[in-house]
Amino acid sequence: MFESLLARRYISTQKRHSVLTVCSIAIAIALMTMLFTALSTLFGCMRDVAFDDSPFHIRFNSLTEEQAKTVAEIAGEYGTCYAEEATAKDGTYWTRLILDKNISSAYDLVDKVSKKAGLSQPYKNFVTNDDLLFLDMKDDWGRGIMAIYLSLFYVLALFIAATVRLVIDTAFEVSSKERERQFGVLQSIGATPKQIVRIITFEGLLLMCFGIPIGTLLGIGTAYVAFRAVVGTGFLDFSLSPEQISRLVNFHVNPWLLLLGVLTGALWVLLSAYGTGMRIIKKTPIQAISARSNSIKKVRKNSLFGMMFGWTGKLASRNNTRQPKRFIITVVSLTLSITLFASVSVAIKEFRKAVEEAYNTFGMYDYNIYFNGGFTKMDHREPMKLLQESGIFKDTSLDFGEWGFYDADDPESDDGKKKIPFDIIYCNETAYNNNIFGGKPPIPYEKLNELGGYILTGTNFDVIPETNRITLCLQEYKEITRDEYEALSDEEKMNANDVGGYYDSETDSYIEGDTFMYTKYNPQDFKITEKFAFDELENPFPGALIMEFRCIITTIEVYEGGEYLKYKPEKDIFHTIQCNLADGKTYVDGNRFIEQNKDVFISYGDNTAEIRKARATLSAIEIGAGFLNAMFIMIAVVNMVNILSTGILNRRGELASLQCVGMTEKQLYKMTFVECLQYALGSGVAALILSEGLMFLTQRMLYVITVEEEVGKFINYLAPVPRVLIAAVAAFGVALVASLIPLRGMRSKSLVEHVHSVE
Amino acid sequence: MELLVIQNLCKTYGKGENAVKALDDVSFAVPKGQMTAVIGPSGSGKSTLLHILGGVDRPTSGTVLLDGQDVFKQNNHNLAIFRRRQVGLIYQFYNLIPVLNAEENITLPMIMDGRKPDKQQLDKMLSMLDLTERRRHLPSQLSGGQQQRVSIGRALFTNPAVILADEPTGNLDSKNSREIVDLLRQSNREMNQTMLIITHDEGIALQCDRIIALSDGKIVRDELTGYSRRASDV
Repeated sequence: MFESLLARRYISTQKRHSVLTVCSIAIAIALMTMLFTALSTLFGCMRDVAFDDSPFHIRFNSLTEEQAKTVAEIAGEYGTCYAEEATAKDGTYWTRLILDKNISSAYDLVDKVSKKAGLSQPYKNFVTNDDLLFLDMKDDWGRGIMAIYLSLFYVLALFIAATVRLVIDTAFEVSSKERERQFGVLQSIGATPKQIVRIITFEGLLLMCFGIPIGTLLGIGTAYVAFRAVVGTGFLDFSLSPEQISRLVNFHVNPWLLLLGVLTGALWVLLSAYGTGMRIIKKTPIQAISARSNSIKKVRKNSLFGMMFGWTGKLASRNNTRQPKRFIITVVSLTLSITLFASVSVAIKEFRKAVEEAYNTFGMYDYNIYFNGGFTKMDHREPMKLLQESGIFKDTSLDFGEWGFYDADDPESDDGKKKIPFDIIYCNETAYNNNIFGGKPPIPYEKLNELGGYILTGTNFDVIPETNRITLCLQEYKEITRDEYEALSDEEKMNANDVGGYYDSETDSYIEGDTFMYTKYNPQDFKITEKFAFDELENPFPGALIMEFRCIITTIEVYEGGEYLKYKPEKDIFHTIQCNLADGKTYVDGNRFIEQNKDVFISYGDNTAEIRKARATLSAIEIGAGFLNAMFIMIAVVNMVNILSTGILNRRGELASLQCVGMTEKQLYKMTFVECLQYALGSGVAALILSEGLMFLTQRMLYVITVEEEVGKFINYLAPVPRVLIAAVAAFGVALVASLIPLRGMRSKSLVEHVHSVE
Repeated sequence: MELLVIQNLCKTYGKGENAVKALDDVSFAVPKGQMTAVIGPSGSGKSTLLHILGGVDRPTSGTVLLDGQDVFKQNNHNLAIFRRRQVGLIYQFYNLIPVLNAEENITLPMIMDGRKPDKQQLDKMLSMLDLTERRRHLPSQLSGGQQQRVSIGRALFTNPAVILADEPTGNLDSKNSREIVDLLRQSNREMNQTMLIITHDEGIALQCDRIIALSDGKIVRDELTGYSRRASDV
């Protein structure tokens, strides 16, 4: 078949084109393969972890030994069954079923098996491993979910593949454009349009034979390197032990997914080749031979680059617009790569910033440690001393409080009064200086101690009478015995709670105690020494204790030295101590200390663990995105090198002619400089517009999803600008190198040889 | 008998005020076996005429009948087959396929047709073209004259109804030019091949049976030269 003969001859003769086309195909296949391999690794690891956690699809529980064996026998037709004693060692048995057949529903199967085995109906003592069912696609539900995930993933992959299609299109376009004249000759001597299309399609098929294996290996290799790098960030350390990680977190290659990736890439290649062939045959043979068009276009006299750079700029503009399709494809491909690079790096940076800010909002300390005086029978002093003297912590910040209410006048109410809630906050010096007032307390801590009064906060201070004292009704607690409780009136008993009783799980009943907490509301005067309005805080959000309603604040020393100890340690309120790790201490030291003092501290939040986990996860995401970015950058580079270098080589006759009539080498380089600048500038401007458009869409999406104006403020419209600039400059550099190398290569022959050059 | 009949042929490039009329109502007929020279100044429409007759370009209006069949009533597929079997095109700049050697270029139309070239016929053709020693050479390894001979061989090999040559000697020196013209005349004589040759060379034109002169897309002169094959044989 002469088509295959010509295809093979073209491939072997045009080595540079063939190599660049193979590179384009390989990168396209590599990208698809990398994506699909990453997916199969993710699913593979998830599956291994799910199986390790619960090695069954369905487990029948609470069986006798005989029942377990019967169930195993019946359920054995669906897969492998294990009848064994339950790990609780309570005399019961269970049967684990690992399915090797597909079923419609796990519940239907349990129903069927339990009935056949004669188990009591309805049978409810079973457990399904839904994760494993889904990952193994064993039932309709699992298959449905997997189909959704795969479809979503495939849509994403197709979107990426569409971008990749551009570079394959370009490779074929460039390669075939240079042979357009030959295709015209072939048609003139009798090749039918179908035969021409077949030649190019055959070329695509042959080049694919090299591109597919190279791309597949490259894709798998890249996926493996990315996998090792992502695991190396340690983000799995928070979920799995090192032993589990080495055993369960492995690189997976699913042959079916791999085949799907390869087939998608291959289809793209064939479509590109076929499409190129169809475009070529649109011209008549003589149009192709003489490179003449039946339409006559007006040439613009002036161009922007002509005005900026003179006649070399004008020539450069005309050169680039001579083949508009090629110019557009290159600019679009560059634009997409730059946009992706800028958007991904901005998104990750902003996400990292949001996580750090959230951490700061959550607490500017390494630890939040909780203790409850009701359980520990301690007030704040002993836990604080324990932490401070441990040597592991520093900057201990403590605040606690109680609430009361203020009887304000309200002519419109029935009794002429309204109750305004108030919080009373006691804090140590660290909390006072760092947390309560956003780092800007109205008066120094020592001064407040000296004055022995309270700071009144709020948005208006109409509650302060002229006496500068405020009367609040506070809850007073007193522990009373059962006899004292019985002596109370019915009305008084409503303010008493049994605090000595407990729930007995063995008898499943509540055992009443002999101790009661009696609550009494006492009015108490508080001296106001200072006022503080919330709108004085510039940035109240991170770390500041903001009371939406009114509160009065004073020091712990005032509380401890006060004649009226308002706050009883038995009260069932959580105290929070915030602190940082001392220099040289790690979260392991801190966690261990708190665990060892469980009788004092109820629980704790290790903020460092959360932020470390978040940072490790972010690093993992960054690495993954980095590899994807690298692929796209490679695509853009290969595309640009192909087009620019080929363009120079195919115009060498024309460029030599220009030099024959007096153009210097310097002027030639200047013209090339302007051509490259047009590519970089065009794609830079387009990428900037596209990036800002994406930012705008993201902002609108955040408003819709969260319905909070604040969230949209995380969008920084200036963030993509420097990235797009850097990428466009890099693209310009690559374009310049890709053009200058063949230009300098022209020196090896004389001008006449170039003018008369024959392929 | 008229092998080739051209009726009211027009070809216009562009539209509106930018329109250029390359051929303006050209009509003539060519009997079988006649060797016709088409002459005229640059831009007179000679190449356009030849390309339309060869089916490599379509006219704006008018008809071309080859052996009674309207060439342009066919679809693109059949038009390609027409070019393959009925027409032999020879270009000024050879237009060989650079990745095929000399004999592959010559046999290409036949291979496209799915037919296997006859070895004896090929050897005879190569011998006639004096290319036996160069049969396996690529076009880049041949001289201009040799390349043009390959081009002629490609045009003649399938024994088409008509040979169309566009300035076949335009790129050659005088010695090669003479050899090419001799080849064409030999083919015309031996195989009674109908030929249309575009040429600037008056000497070549006078060796043809007929001269058609074009100017501004119109025929301005159409006359027999009085040069006869039988007379030259004598």
